[in-house]
Amino acid sequence: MATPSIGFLKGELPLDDRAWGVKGRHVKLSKWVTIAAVAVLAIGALTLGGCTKSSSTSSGAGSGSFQGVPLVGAGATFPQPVYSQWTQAFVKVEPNAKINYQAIGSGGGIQQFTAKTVDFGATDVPIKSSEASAITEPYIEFPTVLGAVVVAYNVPGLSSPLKLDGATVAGIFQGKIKNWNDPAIASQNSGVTLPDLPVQVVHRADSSGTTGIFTSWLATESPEWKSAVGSGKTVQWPTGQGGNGNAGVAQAMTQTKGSIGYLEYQYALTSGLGIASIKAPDGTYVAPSSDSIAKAGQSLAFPITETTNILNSSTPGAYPLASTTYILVYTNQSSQDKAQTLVDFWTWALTAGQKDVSTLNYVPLPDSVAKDSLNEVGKISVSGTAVKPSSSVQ
Amino acid sequence: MTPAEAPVRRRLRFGDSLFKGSTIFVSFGLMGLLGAILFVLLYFSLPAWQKFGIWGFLSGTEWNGATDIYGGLPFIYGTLVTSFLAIVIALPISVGLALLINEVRSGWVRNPLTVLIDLLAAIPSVVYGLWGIYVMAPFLNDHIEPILGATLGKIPVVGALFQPTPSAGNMFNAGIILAIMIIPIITAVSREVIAIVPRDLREAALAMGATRWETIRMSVLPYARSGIVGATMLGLGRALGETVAVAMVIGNGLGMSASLFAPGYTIPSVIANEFREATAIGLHRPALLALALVLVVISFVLAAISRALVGGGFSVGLARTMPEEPLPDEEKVAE
Repeated sequence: MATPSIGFLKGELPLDDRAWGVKGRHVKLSKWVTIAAVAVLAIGALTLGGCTKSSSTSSGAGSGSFQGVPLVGAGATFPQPVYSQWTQAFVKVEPNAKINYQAIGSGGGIQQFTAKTVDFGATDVPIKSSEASAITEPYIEFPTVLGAVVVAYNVPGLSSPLKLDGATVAGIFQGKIKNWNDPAIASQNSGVTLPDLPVQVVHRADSSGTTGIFTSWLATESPEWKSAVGSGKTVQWPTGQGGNGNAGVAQAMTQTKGSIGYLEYQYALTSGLGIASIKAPDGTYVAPSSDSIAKAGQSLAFPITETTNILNSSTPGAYPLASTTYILVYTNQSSQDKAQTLVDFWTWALTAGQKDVSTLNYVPLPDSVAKDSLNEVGKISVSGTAVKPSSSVQ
Repeated sequence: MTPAEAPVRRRLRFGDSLFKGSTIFVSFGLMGLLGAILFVLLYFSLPAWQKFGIWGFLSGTEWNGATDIYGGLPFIYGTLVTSFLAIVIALPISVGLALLINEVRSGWVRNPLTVLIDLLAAIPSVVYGLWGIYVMAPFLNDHIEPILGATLGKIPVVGALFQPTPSAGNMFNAGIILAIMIIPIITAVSREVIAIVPRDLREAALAMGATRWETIRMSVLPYARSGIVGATMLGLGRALGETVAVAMVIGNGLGMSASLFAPGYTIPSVIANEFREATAIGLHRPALLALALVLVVISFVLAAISRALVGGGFSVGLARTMPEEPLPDEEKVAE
């Protein structure tokens, strides 16, 4: 009788049904080989994972200092690149402070903060009184970084960036100006040949502080916009298609020729879209840049109220659509470790962290504003005792 | 009574009672789950129904977070249009594929096709969405949309459907992606249904001199029709509920334009886009849940229609093609 097991290993096929049906050695052999292989792989993976884990926690700040604890934050998409850079850098200062930031939109951030499902919330627009009434405990609200809302467009073949004023932008977003060669646009851009291309508006489909900033500016620039559409984190857009988050708008715009939309400065730069210069209150057209945004940031004053904004700043050379973004933290924290990590992280972000934001095309806060923010962070306490920043972040 | 005719009662063994108990538990559990879903949807969407009225909400076109006025018509329109477009495109392709798989004798064609169809069904929707955004949508917008606009767009009444717009996201793209996603489902089920058609019917048609297409038309399709309708309803169910892939390519615009190339909005997309910041204060969350309830009702209605069409069973098709003849029992009794 043939010995199925040896023939099988040699690659021969059995010639009779008995070989397959026999609960012989070759069935058990292949089964055991598989089990052994899987076991070896599993053990190997666990060992490797264990090795890398231990090596990352062994390096870092001295064993005596505060190591931090994981935190969760959620909110605006605008500052996500900066917060991502900050959280990655902060892990080197406090190795256990793995901070997870979810960019779900300013509305979502306030919602989660109110529901206490996150340790801190982030919003581009200051909390409104109606939202504040739902928050039962005292909280602090402070700005972290400056940026700008930019009017971007995808019109190929232009010789220089477009100049637009508030009334024109409002007309475009209301669907009244339907073509790029419209006189309203052409009159401000005398040297540029505008193509005969229909305008396609792109806006946000989700609730957004970026929308809030943009629509408040439009409401001050155009009374018609104010009565027809209004301002807010979500509005009923008269026309156009919607994208999800800044990234979704940028993606929709790069795919649609003739599109116009509003984006945070960072996203517009990285997507390669054209960026318009906006007419400032003194009549000059200002393009967004670190310089013009920093000039606008100088008018940011505490305390933060629901109408705080740095739009249409009177400083000459300031970009009219500059914006900032805020962080929300409850003052009375229950966990000492979490409170210490929060204080440490935001102290670090408002001091050391400000130096690197320009690599991502954001603008650091003016010194006086950063100091005021640090004062706010100093209000965080546990059981009535204020939490002071650890030595590693001072 | 003879021993063979006496009613037999068997004492259930433990394994049998366990099986019986668990199946009863699961079936009642499923019914309970369905009831719980409907109850939760109805309860939390009640403020919206009370404020706008049933007809008011279903026909309202405004969706404004600032004024707290919500109407569901744009989303119902978008959902129905994209799903209908998907079915119109997918159905002929699927039935054709199913017929091909069954008619072709060669395993070389049949087996790879079958495997490919099943693979297509297994691809996750978000992957379809990504491919749709980066590959399919630009291709359709740059090449197909101008052609359709220039040809079908010029026909008097139907042309309104095909007016090109600059928008990258539109209902046409959503419909195409949905069609690609439901073709595997409809094909798989139709393939099974067509395979069951008895050979006698085909041979009868062939014996009468029918060509292959006439055979299919006369004996296969009528027999399999109710099964194909059931398969279509399965596909339609998936198309109605598709969230991520559609949200990526449909453009998320509220206007209900006649043109398929304009942005649209479907119920699952708006729920996915807006649920995170839909606060319990105000009517935003109740309005989203009311939309979810509408979607459930639409699915139920379609399921009921499909049951009514399929419920006749195979005999519906059979009765059409078989000649009338007395059944053997009747003949015996008559004697």
